[in-house]
Amino acid sequence: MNCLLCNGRTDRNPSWARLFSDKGFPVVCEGCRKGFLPAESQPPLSDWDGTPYAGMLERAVSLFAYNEPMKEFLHQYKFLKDVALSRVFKSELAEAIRLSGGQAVPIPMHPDRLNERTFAHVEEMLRAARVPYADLLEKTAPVTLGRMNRQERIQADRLFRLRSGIRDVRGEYVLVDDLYTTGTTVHHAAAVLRQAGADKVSAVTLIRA
Amino acid sequence: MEAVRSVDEEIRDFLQGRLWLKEHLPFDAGEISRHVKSGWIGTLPGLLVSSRRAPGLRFRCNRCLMTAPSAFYSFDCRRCGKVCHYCRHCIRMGRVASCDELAYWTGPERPPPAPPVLKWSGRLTPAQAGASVDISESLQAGRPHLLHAVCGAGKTEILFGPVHELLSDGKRVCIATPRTDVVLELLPRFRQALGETVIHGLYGGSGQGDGYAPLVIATTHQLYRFRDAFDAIFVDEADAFPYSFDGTLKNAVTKALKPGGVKVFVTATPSPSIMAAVKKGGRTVIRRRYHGHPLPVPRFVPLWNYRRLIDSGKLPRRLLHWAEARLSSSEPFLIFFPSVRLMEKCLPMFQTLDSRIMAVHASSPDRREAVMALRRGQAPGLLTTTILERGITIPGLQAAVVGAEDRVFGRSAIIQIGGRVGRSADLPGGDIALFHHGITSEMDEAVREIMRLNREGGGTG
Ligand SMILES: [Zn+2]
Ligand SMILES: [Zn+2]
Ligand SMILES: [Zn+2]
Repeated sequence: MNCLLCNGRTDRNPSWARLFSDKGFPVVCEGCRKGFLPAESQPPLSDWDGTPYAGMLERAVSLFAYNEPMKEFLHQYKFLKDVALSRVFKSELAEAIRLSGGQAVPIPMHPDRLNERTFAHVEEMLRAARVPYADLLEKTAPVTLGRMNRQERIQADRLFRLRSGIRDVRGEYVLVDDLYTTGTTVHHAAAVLRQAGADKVSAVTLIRA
Repeated sequence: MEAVRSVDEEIRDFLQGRLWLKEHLPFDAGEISRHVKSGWIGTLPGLLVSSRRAPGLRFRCNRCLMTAPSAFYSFDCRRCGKVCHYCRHCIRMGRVASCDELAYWTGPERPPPAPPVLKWSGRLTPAQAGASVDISESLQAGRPHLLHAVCGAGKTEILFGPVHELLSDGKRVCIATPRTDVVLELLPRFRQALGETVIHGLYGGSGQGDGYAPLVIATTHQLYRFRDAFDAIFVDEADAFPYSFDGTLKNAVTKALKPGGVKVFVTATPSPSIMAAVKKGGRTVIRRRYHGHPLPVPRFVPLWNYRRLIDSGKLPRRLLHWAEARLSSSEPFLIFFPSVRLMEKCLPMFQTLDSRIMAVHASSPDRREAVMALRRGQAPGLLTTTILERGITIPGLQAAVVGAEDRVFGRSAIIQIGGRVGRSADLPGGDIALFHHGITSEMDEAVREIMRLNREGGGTG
């Protein structure tokens, strides 16, 4: 088996292989794996205190720091469209979603963007992790948050709505996305679910940017 | 003055000889589909299904010609709504999937540009001049050629003549080399020698090159993006990794060549497969460097148990003395390591001798800057993996190998490392110290080969 990131061998170190024997073969080598560091801080939900979105999220967890190897990973996965990389963080993601408890809900892409990218990067990661998920949301407009300031982000129209035909969403949910930057995306998504009757919504993001 | 040019001509100039992802073409999509309809642009599917037999589909990527099943990955494609496959081998050039199309030009060809003026006015040695004539003869006869020349024979100057002749005949020419560093070294020299000629320098991260260039100097990988383009391809360092290992690169050279085009191999250490490729072709051997001095012969220096010593945080004494001697006489140096790990262990220890010493490896982002710093004397020496074994010319350079017994240092790698030393006429000597934990047959063979070349080179100029 060759490393998905550097194409080197993944099974050179026998103790490493043994470590993974219960989770299948490692898809990246030890050297590449070491480049990914745990997130230094968890998303500061208190940033949203005093806004209409306060308390929408029960909790939010980010797994990894946005360092150079992680930027390189995201570039290859999302920009170069290397779908195979959906498997790189499958165990970590599955574990974090299990700990959060609730039905996984991927943050959706706008259909125009999806057509351009040819794959839904969050859904593919969930499939690789063998996490069942519910496609409850859809994106309302192909906007990017990059240019908005804090006030604009809070006042922006909802970025998401429930997919047509979905009404009753009682229960607990885990929103899943790749990046937590300001938290606007997951807060908007959480608000949609809560207003439709969800009891609890938490978020798991791969990266804390 | 900028001439007014039609869109058709711009598309033709860019696309002629290239094989480009249709959706990445830098032109209006409407113009492109108009040309597809009119038959001036042909298309290939991104992937060819080469077999449907059990245990599953087999593919060939129509851009890089990869066929290994492990290079292909399938996914639910949200663009075409089917299960699509894509090639991971050439993904850095933009992903090629089953539902992608590769475009090429089939319309009327571009008239060749005016013959260039050769501005190079240096003098060739008799051996260089002879090689130049041999190559021109092979090109005329349409047969492959091997230029087997020692490192430092002045290969670039040998190529000026034949390349100029080809361009003067309206031919399109490519010089393909394994390394970006070599592209960057050759580009300014050819730009200077050929004046007005448009020359594209292509390598990972270089940009695509605007319009048409009669001369392309590129890393071999860039040939994935050409098809029936060149009348002649000079394959530089054809024995070097990755060309000698990655079969797709050999196929890429053939694909990029026009039918009836000629390959000229240039190498210091021809492998049996290169010898076989030119069996029916021409061959020139140059055993002497252009300045006529013999090649420096590497010496063996035992460095017993160096790994243990380095792991415990100490530099072996002989290695330390070697570096100190270079520093005190201000001689630029390269120290080669078999692995990044060992090199990085050593770096802080070398930096206590001189904090400006740097380390580079294949994925160092500042590789080019480090080589520049060495050239300008801002860094006294570099630690490196085998990536710098070729294509570096720095007067007075000295070289050492730590762990010369390691299998990454094969015969050809050692000869190439030695080839970095003593290249300039003013400083033709120099030291090549092979620090080892046991002499290997590869080390022996490398030294024997260098001594043989020096012996045989005695008579030729
Ligand atoms: Zn790796
Ligand atoms: Zn390919
Ligand atoms: Zn498709």
